Amino acid sequence: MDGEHGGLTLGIPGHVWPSTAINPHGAVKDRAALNDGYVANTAVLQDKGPGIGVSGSVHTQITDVEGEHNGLFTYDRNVEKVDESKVCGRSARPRSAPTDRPEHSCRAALPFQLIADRAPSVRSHYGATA
Amino acid sequence: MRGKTADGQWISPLNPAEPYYNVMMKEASGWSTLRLVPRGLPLNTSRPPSKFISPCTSHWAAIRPSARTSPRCFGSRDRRKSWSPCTHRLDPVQRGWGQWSIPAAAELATQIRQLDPSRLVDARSGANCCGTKGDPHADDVIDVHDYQGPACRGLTPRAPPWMASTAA
Repeated sequence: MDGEHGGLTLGIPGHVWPSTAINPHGAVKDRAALNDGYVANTAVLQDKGPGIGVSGSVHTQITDVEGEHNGLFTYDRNVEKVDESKVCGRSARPRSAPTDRPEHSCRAALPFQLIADRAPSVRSHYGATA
Repeated sequence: MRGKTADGQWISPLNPAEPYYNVMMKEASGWSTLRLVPRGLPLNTSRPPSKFISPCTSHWAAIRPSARTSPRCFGSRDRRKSWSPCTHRLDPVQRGWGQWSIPAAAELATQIRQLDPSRLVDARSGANCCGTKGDPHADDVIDVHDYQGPACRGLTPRAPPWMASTAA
């Protein structure tokens, strides 16, 4: 598992914890770049991860925290920094995922984004029967 | 809540209205865990479990068999109205910060697995990173930190210990 994945940094003025140094893991210039960066980084995980035994990731992070601005949402939870239709739609899901599942929302899907259903070898390794 | 400063001293005097964030030890001291509860994450347990889809159990195949029998973590299917947390994994040592040694982390993970068999255990996150690098090999996951990419750096894949009894 990639226990810390993402780290795209974008602060939204007026929605950050004040007067604290920021740890910029990977600064992006605006919200469009944040969306593009998330989709691209997720694609790398989905394409390369299963082949090296990676079956999941933990996104850094769901919301901004005091000293880090890598959230899908701002520190006060009032602004959704990403566009859900771009980062949580089918483009950001495993390509072999069943189509009968409800679309994930950011809040439901991203904290623990398993990609095991794209990797048959991983599924059988962990005892899956179907 | 009362915390300690980087030199190990209790915050004093304590003003409950002051979050003290700027003077506290933070991630490396487990402060992030301590603050989860008071920071407005309502655990919505008032509805029957049948109304929930667990992000853990929906991926049944990846859950250790003993954890499948007693899924204690579940969350609201629609989290737009609820920041319901799901504790799917116990991770006592973030990035090895504060970890005494690799064998000590392994022993701690072993004890935690015995105390709570319903959840996955990650002996220490980010085994390629930060304090006391290395994988204790006593837990359910291999945890490597890699912000951009699929965690290619670092460790040799291995089977978690419970696989010994379930592998074909």
